[in-house]
Amino acid sequence: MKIFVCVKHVPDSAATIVVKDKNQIDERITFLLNPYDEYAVTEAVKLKKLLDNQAEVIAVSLGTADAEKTLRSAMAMGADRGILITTEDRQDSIITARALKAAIEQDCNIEVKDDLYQYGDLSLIFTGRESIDMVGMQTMFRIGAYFNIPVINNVVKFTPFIEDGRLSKAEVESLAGEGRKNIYEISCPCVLGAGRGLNTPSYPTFPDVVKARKKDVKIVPLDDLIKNLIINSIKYLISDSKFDNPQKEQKNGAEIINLELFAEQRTPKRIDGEPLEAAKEIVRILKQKAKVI
Amino acid sequence: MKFYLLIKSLIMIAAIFWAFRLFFIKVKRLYAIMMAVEGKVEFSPFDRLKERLKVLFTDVLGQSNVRRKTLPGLSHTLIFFGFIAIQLHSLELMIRGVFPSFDLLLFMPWIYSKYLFLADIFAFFVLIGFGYAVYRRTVIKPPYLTMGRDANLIILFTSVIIISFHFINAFQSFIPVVVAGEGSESVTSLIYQNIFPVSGILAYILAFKNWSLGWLIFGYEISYYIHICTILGFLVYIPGSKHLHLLAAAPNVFFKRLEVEKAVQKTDIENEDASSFGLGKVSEFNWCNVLNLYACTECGRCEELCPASNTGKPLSPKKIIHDFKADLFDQSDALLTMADLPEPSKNRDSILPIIREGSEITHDVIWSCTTCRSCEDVCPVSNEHLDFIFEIRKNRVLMEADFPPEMQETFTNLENQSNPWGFSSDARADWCRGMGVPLMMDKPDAKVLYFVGCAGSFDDRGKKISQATARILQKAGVDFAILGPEESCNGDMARRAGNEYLAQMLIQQNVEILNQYKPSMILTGCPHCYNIIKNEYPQFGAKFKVLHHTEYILELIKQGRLVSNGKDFGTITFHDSCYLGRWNNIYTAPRDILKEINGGSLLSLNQNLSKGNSQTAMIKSYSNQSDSRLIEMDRSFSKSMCCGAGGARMFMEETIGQRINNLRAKEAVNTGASMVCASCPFCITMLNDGIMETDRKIIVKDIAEIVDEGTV
Repeated sequence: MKIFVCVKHVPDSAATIVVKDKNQIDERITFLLNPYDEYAVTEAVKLKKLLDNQAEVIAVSLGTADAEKTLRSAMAMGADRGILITTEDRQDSIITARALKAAIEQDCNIEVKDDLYQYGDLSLIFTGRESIDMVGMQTMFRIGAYFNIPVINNVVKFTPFIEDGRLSKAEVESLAGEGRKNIYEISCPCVLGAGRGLNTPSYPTFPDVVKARKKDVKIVPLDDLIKNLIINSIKYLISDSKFDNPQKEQKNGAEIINLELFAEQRTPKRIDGEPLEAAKEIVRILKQKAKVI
Repeated sequence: MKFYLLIKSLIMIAAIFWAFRLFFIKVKRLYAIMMAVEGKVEFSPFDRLKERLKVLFTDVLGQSNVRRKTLPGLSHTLIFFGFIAIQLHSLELMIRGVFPSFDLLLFMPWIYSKYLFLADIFAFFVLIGFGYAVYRRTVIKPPYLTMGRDANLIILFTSVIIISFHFINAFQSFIPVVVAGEGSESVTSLIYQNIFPVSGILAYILAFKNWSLGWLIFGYEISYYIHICTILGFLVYIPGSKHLHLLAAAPNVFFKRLEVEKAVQKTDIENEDASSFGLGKVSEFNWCNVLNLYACTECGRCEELCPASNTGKPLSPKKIIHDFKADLFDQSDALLTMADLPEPSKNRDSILPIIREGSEITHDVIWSCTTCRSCEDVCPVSNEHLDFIFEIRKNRVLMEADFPPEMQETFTNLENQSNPWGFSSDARADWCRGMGVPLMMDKPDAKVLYFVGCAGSFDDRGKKISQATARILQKAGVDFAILGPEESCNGDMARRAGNEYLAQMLIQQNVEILNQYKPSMILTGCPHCYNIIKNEYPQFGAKFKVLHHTEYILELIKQGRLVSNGKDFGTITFHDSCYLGRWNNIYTAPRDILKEINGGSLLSLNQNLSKGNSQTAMIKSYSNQSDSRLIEMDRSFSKSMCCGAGGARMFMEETIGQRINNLRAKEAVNTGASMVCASCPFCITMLNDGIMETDRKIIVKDIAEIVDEGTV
């Protein structure tokens, strides 16, 4: 059984982002494991334990060579090994999802028989609910679509059903805004986008950090992967002519023309008056405006 | 009579042999435990023997540490010397029990009679000492003192020894001794009659002169048995009780760390063979730690001053030492078995972790410590409680990732942005925008490298302090520069919170930068930066002259580069921060600055503060000056109470008991001063918050701010 966690190497939100050459981020700042992906890794490791450790947690990332650090962080948190799909450019969610899918497919020997996927070792795919740099919220849905499996994003509770040591289905709660919660029963494999509150990401112990340095990271250049991808699941992707030529793909895919810093507008509201009245007003705002309670 | 003496000598041989044998077995085991533990000692306990002998004279024979508490100290001194004084006499009595004719007074009458005269007086002093001890335990009952069977038993034991000593002497005074000849021709004399001043009075009161020789001998024999049996019983009892102190205190003091300044132990985190880091089990103590445990007699002075104990936290430095010792003894069989085996077959798993189900030392205990070091400062046997706390925290964090949950964010922030709050690290120099403060990268040969620190760079209150410091430096024409974005957190917080890995990462970053610039002096505004750069960076290959701004400002004042503008700040009370005072012995510099700036004159600075003056004299000289507008708090100098922020407590919630900073703020307010001055940005924050809770909102200022406002 294999549990995959798709992780992304993102700039630290605390860092001062500087735009370089109009459409690039100055990458001298700290990059780290996307915070939402931390919930994903933690949940995957928890699931592995529930499966009596009879599963492997594999962290997969698409990024520059520097993204290996992020894979090491994921492995320090408990992932068993990593796959790094290397690319020099920032890729959009279409390419990212396809690359991740291809890497997972290769690792699990997933086959297509009679137009149906044979999922092989694949048990589950976790992602974060979004990356804090692009905030696209697309990759998990695309991966699900390519594999033809269900997707739930912003998961805050995950209860797996394990039969004969195998993961068959799960009950999943996801947050849908305005304090609303959806509860699903979902078949596995599936893709789950981890949200805040799913768990408390664990701080790695030092021996885990040391072990993570020695864990295996398979490095696959994006170009090679795309070649293999076409051979392996040609039927599903051949119609997408962009994949015949990866270079061409980058030109035709989403291209960042201009990056601008987004300064968050904060307009604090001041509530005056007696403490009792002020408290009531806060409750009213939380209920009626923010709709969180 | 001869038959009786034969029986007596046989009994004595058996008793002495039995008691000493048991004693040696016990002591041997204690020594074996000390040798079985596997931890490394960071400093060298065998160097500088001359200084160590001197320490033995001052601390043990001079009883200098014990006497820091006047009456209990005096009482201890009397007991200590009294017991030393009667040792020779006890030895003589034991020998005489085996060889009845043995009598030292016959061998060397003049000197031995003088000795007995003194011993008799000193023994009586022991009773006075005990009188006070009993009074203290029954009437005063200080809450920090352990009241147990153990302590009472020991007072009883030793009182019996002394009282029987006097009775032996009293009876002896009227029993004739054979002074010459053999058998019927022997000549006897009352050679002991006029030797004993105290026992003599006892004999006089009981009118022994009128007793028959038979009764006198009978009384003597009874006293003798009581005396010797109690001594032998005591001998057997000591190694298993807290009075192991009697044996271990002197060696513990002898092997202590000689400097006040010290560093957290550097753990070799690159060692891939290490199965564990820090202190997780009793087998990971080092022998000095074990000696510390043996030497503690639970006097409770540490608990009396501990800010955690004083505010209802579960930590007591006394109890933690006791609990470590109890755990060590509980697991000593497994420890000794393990130690006997050769390396590959050592089974370290047979020893249980210190923090385990039902253990007295809990998560809350180890995380309550502010590392203020008042326990170590006050400990009469020079125990180093923090060595235990730092190492056990290290073990919890590195091996178990077990720490107060709020620290996780702090650790992550330190890791990613090199500051505990998580501000962008490239904004480090923003506090001095427009002030014309140069960066080291633009001015690499600046004479003074001002290491601003995280609080000084990012915290709103801290920024004002570093701005004041920069202005002072500019006023005095100092050639200085800051590191700006090249600076990282000094690593103190991570290190004291047990995250040695993170701390070493931060320290390494700074060390590389510092070694690149090689400044002739580093100036810090924060005692935590000061302490770690000065005392711990050398572990990582960075040795520099480091001054805290209090020291440097005083130097600038003395050089005439800073001149008071005569501004009146009213009355000021100074809060000694732990890492400046107890950790680095800087007490006078800030006070001298305040005197100079707040309407004093440098020429009037204490002339009598020359070297060698005791701290008591120093405190007196500061508080007795009638013109002084510097008011001392109840606890100041080395007794100063922590603000509650040290040991990374700044970034942990304080949910148990009273808040430490509130207590300290109240103390500052109670002086009646109009301003409280500190010299640490963390103390400033804590005191500010604490004063909000009091009804008199006095001003809190850093000494740099006062100097900035009070100089031309």
